[in-house]
Amino acid sequence: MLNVLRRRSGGDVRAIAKTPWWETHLRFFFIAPSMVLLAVMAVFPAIMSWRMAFSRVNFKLGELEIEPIGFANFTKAFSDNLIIGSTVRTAVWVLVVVSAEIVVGLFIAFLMSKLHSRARMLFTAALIIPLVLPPVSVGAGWLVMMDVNFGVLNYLLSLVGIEPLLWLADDRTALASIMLIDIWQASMFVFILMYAGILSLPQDPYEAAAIDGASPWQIFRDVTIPLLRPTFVVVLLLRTLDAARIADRMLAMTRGGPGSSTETVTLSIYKYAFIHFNFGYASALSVMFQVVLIILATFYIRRILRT
Amino acid sequence: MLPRSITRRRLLRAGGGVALGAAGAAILAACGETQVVEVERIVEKEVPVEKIVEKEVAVEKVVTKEVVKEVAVDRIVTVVIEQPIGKPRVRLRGTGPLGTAETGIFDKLLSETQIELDHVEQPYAATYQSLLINLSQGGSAYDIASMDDPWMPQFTEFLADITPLYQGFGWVWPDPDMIPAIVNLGDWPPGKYGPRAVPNIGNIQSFAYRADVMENLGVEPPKTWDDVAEYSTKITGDMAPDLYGYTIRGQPGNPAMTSFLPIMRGFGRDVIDGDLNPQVNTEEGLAALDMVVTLKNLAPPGVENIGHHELGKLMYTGLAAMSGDVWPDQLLKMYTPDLSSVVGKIEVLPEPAQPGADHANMTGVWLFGVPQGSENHEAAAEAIHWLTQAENQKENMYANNWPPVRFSLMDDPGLLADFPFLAGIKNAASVAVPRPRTEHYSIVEEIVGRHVSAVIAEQESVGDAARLADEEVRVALEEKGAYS
Repeated sequence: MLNVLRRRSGGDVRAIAKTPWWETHLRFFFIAPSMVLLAVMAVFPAIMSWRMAFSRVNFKLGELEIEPIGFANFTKAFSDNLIIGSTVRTAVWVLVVVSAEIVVGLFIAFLMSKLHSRARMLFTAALIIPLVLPPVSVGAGWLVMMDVNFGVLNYLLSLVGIEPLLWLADDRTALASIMLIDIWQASMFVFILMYAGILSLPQDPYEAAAIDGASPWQIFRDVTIPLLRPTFVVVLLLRTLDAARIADRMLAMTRGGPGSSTETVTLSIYKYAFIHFNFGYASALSVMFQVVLIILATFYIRRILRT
Repeated sequence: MLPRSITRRRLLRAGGGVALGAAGAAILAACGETQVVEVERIVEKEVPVEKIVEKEVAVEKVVTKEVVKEVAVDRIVTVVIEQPIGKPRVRLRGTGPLGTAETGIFDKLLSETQIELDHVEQPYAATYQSLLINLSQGGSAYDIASMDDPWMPQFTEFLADITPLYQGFGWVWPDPDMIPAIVNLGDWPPGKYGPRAVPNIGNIQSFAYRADVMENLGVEPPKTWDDVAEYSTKITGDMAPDLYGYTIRGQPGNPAMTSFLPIMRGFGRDVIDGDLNPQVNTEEGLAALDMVVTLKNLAPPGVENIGHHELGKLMYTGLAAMSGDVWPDQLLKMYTPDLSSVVGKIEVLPEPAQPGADHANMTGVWLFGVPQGSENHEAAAEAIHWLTQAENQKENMYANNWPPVRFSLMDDPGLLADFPFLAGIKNAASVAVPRPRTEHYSIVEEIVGRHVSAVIAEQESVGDAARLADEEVRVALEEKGAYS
């Protein structure tokens, strides 16, 4: 047992009680439920996933039959045309949507920072709306709007004399159409972070730049952008990880089609897991995908720590 | 006297005491709760004269005392003197046509049988996944599983045998009023495990066409796929963009496959044979894919990415004149004046077939089964029996547009007056064929459906799609040990 000494405001120090063991370790009791939850919900599934990645998994009544097969699931991925195509598509997706979202989000954030405070509040509330909508609902709504025959978008195009577009029905435009929706929605997330970053920037460099006669573009390029670097890295990290995991939007809008023109890595993993019920192969793909994302995240986090 | 100050330790002790007390009270309350109710219900049943039965029946650890007194030769009155509060709650996992279920029928089930049905709705794919995981692991989360018929080969071994469950209540199975081709869907492999599911929704794919358009063309309704292509060419050529000849679903997987299968079968071959050998890259398969390309080119723009609802919309808005992938819920919309511009103009037929091939409408029947892991087999069986009775099936047709599975209802004059397409569905049911009966069908469907979609989107040539589909199906089924 420990004697707990407490310093009173008057400065005298006295022993107030012998503390029971459970109170000295109370912090562990408070942490325990979340640690148990974490173990059950994250660590155990992760271990199972890694184990399945090296196995063939069969469903039997009341049990999972897990038969070790070494690296077969991993080597298969390198000759699977569907996965190779999905990987390239996912890389293009991440590159395009994250870049576009940063440009759009930053632009809106910059404009907002120039607005009057009341107008800011109004516009911020309006701009946050896409962000709070679930991706599947957004997908369903846009699916109706992009309908070739009955959609409002083709109707609007027809008003200005433009031929109807096939949007999601053409393999050359389907991925781009979904990108458009993602950019519309996720740019608002980027905007929120960028806007917070801009508002917290110190004013001294701006005053110095103004005294030196810098133009608004020069101030933006040479002051705002460099000062926002830490925010950029955080946004890049969060959006890259999130964009790479895209599947729900495709599932709701195209099921990966036409053909496989909008199929991404996670959608392929989902199909292998829950349509083929090939949990071994799906786990191997997940593990490889995890490793790539961890490498990316590590790279970004190191950049954050440096900045 | 001043109250003592509250320390953190005292607060924690007090909180612990309160929590323990509450938990103890809840446990005690849960242990002994019974409610004495008196229920009188009249059951029509022949029983021996002067028979008095007194028996004790255990229901969830509570003894139920039931006294049966004979009051007439053909009527008995059952007086339940004591019973637990309600019967076990039955959980039903449903989807598809069940997803839009009006719950009124479940309220009626509760009032007539005291079985409370907790209905869980999920999308099609999610239901399949969660049922497969739950049922295969012997889980007890659900007492009734609502299943699409292609799932049956995967699920039968995880379901309880219906016959003894029904016999326990004195009911006969199979029910002679139910369409045998539909009843047999619940028994796979035939005779191995015994019947494992009871059909509830007689969902049959049919070929729907615009009778007025055929009349204007001066032709008989199409009998072969060549007829369909010929008439579609005329319709699209003369009337597009106001009316197109045919429509098909182009989304990969289930949608494209569901549109393709009746065409392939209409050319005389299935996507896999009895030994699970893929058949797309055959003379008939290639001809069927060529037909898909022909029909797609005569369809409204955008069919490359349409699913079930969009196809129905193309039909009921009058933009497409024919489709071989029409289901009862879409027919109902075509017959709904508020929605449809083609009310009274749509007729239903068996799927077209090339000379020498059989008509093959696809079944999409929904069946109820009792998972082996369920802890409420009897109550589940009772609920299933009740839901599939003629009176309740009829009510379901009105409330939920669930087509019946009974001969007596298919010929019911009242139903036929209100749902004229039922006669067509009955004809379609007479030639209906289930999708290939294998537990690996979902894999075949996903692979072939993806390549059919690629053909429709002109991403792959017919030859490449057929070759790749067969190769991938063979590899996937080999991995599953289907050929060993």
